[in-house]
Amino acid sequence: MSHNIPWLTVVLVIPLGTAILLQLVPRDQRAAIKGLTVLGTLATASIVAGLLVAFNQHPSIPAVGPRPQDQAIAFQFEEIHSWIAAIGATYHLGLDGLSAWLLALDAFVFLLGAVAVAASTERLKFYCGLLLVTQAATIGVLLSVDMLLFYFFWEGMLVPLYFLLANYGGRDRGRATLKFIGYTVAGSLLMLLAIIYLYVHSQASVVGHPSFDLQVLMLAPGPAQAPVTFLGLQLLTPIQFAFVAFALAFAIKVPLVPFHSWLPDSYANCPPATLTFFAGIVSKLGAFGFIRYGLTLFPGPIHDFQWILEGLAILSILYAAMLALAQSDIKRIVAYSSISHLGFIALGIFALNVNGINGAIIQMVNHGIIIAALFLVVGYVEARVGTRDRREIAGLERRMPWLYALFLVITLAGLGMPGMNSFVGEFTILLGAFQANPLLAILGFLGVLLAAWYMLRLHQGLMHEPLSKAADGVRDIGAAERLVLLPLAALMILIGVYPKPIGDITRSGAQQYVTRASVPPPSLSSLSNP
Amino acid sequence: MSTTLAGTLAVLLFAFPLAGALGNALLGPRLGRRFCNIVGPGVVLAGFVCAVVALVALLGAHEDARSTTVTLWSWLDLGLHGLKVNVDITIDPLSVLMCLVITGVGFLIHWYSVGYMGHDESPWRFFSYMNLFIFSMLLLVLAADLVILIVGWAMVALSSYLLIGYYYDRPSAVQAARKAFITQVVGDVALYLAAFMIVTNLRVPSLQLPTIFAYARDSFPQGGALITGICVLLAIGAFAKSAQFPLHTWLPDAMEGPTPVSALIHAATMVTAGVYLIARFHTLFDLAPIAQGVVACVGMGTAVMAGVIALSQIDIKRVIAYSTMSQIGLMIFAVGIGAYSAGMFHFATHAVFKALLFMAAGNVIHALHDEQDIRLMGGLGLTMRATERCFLSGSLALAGIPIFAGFFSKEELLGLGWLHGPWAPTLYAVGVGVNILTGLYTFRLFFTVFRGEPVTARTYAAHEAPPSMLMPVVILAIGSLVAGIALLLGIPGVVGRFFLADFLDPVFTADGGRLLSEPATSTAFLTVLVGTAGSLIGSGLALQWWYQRKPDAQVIAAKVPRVLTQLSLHKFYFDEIYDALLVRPPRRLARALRTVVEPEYADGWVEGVGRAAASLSETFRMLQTGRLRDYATGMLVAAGAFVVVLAVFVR
Repeated sequence: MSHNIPWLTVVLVIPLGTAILLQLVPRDQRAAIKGLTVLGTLATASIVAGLLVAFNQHPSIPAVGPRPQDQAIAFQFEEIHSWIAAIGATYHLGLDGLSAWLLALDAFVFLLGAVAVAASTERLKFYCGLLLVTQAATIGVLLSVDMLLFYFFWEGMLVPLYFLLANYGGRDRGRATLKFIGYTVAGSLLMLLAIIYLYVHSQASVVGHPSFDLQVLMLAPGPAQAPVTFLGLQLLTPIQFAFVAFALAFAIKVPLVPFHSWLPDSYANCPPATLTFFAGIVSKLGAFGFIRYGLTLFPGPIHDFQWILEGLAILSILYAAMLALAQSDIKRIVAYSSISHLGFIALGIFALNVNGINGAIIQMVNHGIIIAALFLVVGYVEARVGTRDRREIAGLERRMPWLYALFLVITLAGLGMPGMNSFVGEFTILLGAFQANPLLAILGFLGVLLAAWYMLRLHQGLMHEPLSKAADGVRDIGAAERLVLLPLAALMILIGVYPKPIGDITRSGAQQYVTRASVPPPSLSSLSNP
Repeated sequence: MSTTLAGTLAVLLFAFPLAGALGNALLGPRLGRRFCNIVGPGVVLAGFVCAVVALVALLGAHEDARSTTVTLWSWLDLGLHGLKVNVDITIDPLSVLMCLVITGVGFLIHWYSVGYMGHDESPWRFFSYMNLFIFSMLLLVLAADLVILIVGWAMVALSSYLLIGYYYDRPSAVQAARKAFITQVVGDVALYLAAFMIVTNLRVPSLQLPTIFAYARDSFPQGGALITGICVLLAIGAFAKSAQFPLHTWLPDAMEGPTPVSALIHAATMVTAGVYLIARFHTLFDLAPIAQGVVACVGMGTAVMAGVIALSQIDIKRVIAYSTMSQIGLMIFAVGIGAYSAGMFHFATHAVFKALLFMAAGNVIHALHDEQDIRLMGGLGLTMRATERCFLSGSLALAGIPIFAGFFSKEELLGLGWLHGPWAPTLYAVGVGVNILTGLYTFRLFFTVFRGEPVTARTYAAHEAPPSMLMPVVILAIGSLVAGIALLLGIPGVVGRFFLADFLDPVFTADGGRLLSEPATSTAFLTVLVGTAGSLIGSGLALQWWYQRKPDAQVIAAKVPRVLTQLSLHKFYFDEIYDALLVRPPRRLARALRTVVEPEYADGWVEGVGRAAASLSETFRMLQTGRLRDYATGMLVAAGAFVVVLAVFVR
């Protein structure tokens, strides 16, 4: 790929441009609206595919600041332009081993979301526009290297999501949307304060003026380390406070238990076609944030709080798995399974070693594929049977052999079956956790056992035993639905059989972040005696 | 053997059954039953041909050059001292023996299935799952890399799950399938942990098995804690797959699957994978005597327990299932004391006669229209002469009556138990007890089913099975008569004396392993004599109690302490205990979390924060329009304002 073209900007602009083009199509031209949306997401996907092929072939020379190669993150396809010169905010985009395959996942799930949306959806044009804007925002989150730019996309993502959740979905969507938005905004505002704090303290940094640039911020000597005292009590150091603010924002987005209660309600009230990208990519961005910002900006604090974070990850895995086991609403079973799986991803991140983080990145990609497929399957079942109550659905295998076969593959991926894509991620994550502390891996394995239990309970419950009354007379999924599920199932197997193309890139990314996080934080004495 | 040949054979061995599985699933519904009946068994036969070619090639090679490892493709690199995971396969005497049994016995069972499943509504589904099983099993035994072995290990469990739950309309089958799968996941987890311990403690550059073994021999002290832990974990994996105590409860329930499945998976192949695993990892087990002792004791203990349970079961398939559990216990005992070749020998003969017993039982069940209760059978020898003869051949082999296959393999491993293993020769003595039990339950079954007076009218109406279901059984019946003689004593001009041991032993001595010392000839003779006496006593008593009925079995049962009969009848209450300890508590906890913790606390604290904020902001009520849209707009405006403020004031 030519390096003269700003490819990352192109990737960012295509969805926005398509959204604008969409406004020119009359609202009753439903096929054209959907076709254009699919075309736009397809164009993004093809460019992203090209970027992946070219990735690592021309490692670019670091663009900012004097930094030892082994301490900073090497971005590729970098673009830097002045944005708000007055405050030193830049338009700085870059792709690294962490974001490369997540970008691919992003392109894939939005393409899927565009294909999966029913052309009969009410206010289709509005929906497709929101989809495309959401894609642009999530791509922005993945690509921005400047903190202000990142925050702009991070918050901007909420606007189209808000309209999507509030306008399309189940009966209880108003309350669910409020909960989601309230939760996320609360977390984001704390993060904003922390960003400002970091910015203000970057005054004395290497480049001579304050900056929002991650590459600069992570090399600036950490602010003074003296703990804040309050009423005579020694609390956290300022940088630890800043980390807690970031961690809360990300923990809500992931979500980690106990910050999760927005998720089951939101997912339960969200249409399956929206969930392909809402569950597929948005929840991964919290985990992405932990790696991108937690490890680079807060190497000290993330180690200080490591055991708490690991504890939350384990809690998420086990607590959500137990709840998945107790639900009768099939959509909520999948929602809680998602929290449990994201617990594994968090466990890998907080192992703070290459295997853990590499596994986490791989698993983010895998989970995006799996959760999108699971919600689609559950959606197809609900659309045909007319209920989401597991107790009223049984014996679908007899009526729906195609759905049965595809759902089987998806179920196996969901429970971490060796040979499937999720095994690659879980094995690597648990190896990393085992290296950090064998007890973590053992507790994680309890989650693996529970996953087998609740996934089979879901699959067998729907598919087996004599046909239930509600399920009688249903028709199998048609060609269009098969066309959506087949590639997903194929990817699950393909990645399981040959994960190397993903693993090679993600491992190099994980390596950089771990190296970065293991840089010893400047000590108190060195700061007080310049 | 050249790597090209080895690689080609392995790829073919994978490709045939995999193509069969896909072909049956995708084309079967369209092309119909005839297509499935040809493709299903056909691909397994093709696999058998490949295995025979491999055997011939191995026999043509020098004894020291019979192990070839080939890397097919690179799977994943891990971020730990440059660790690489590849898809490696190995062709050596051990894997080829396994392949021969899997595809050979497997083909006969597929062939038999053509008849047995002749009226099934979806033969494509059946043969697709069966072919998938063959593929998984071959992947397991050909894998030369720990992670790939785990993949095969789990896929075997998957195909077993699919086939146990084949009759998915039956809730009991669905339950049994799930139970089997989750038990297998316990075993998988043990293997993962073993892999992690190996990876983190040995600085291995790859997870190729020969590499692991070489590093382990150099780094782990004999009997060290780490290697013992690793081997115990591997053993737990083996116990799950081979239905050994305490992970054995899934196997009897697995009889919910169609009978050919029980023959193939739950008798001949999958359940012996644990024996294979320990034999394959012999280098590690040789370093960990304590783990070996545990394995030997668990094996012998399971052999006794399953034998006792088999005595009182009334379902024909469950009796054979418990007998399988008991016989695998003996194999596990053998590999636990280091008698690897003897364990594999019993595996090979057992695969033949146990597949035979299941298929003959299948003929009976088929003839009686799915009746499995042996109390409703009896006198079937009158109407099903051929099946009865075959079943008798299998029974004699199972009971270890001289010249039949089981006699040679069982006495060989028991004899080694005289000198080796924990507290030798105590376990040998227990083994003789197992021989008595085996004779008892084997012939209890045979006499109850085939002799005596018919109990129901259905018996008179029973017909002998059609040729397609009889031929494979007859072939295996001949096999149980001659397999032992052929493999041990040899057939002049075809196979030499001690053929199997000579073929396999180099695998176990290649990397510094030592063969067990054989007892002196006179001692060996004595152990065989005592062991055979046990088999004969058991069989003789069964003849007296269940055939001649002087005294009647009921009278004997009344004399046995009630505790024992109850334990046997209720399978030592394991299902009840596990249900109370491992199934109910998590269910209850899950329900409590859903009904109390999640709404009251997880959601509650958020809403509490929300309420507190709301009461504080009473003064800002004007802003609270309650319309979400206003909030979102406000948020956007605020974010924009922030940027502007920064731009203006921060210079």
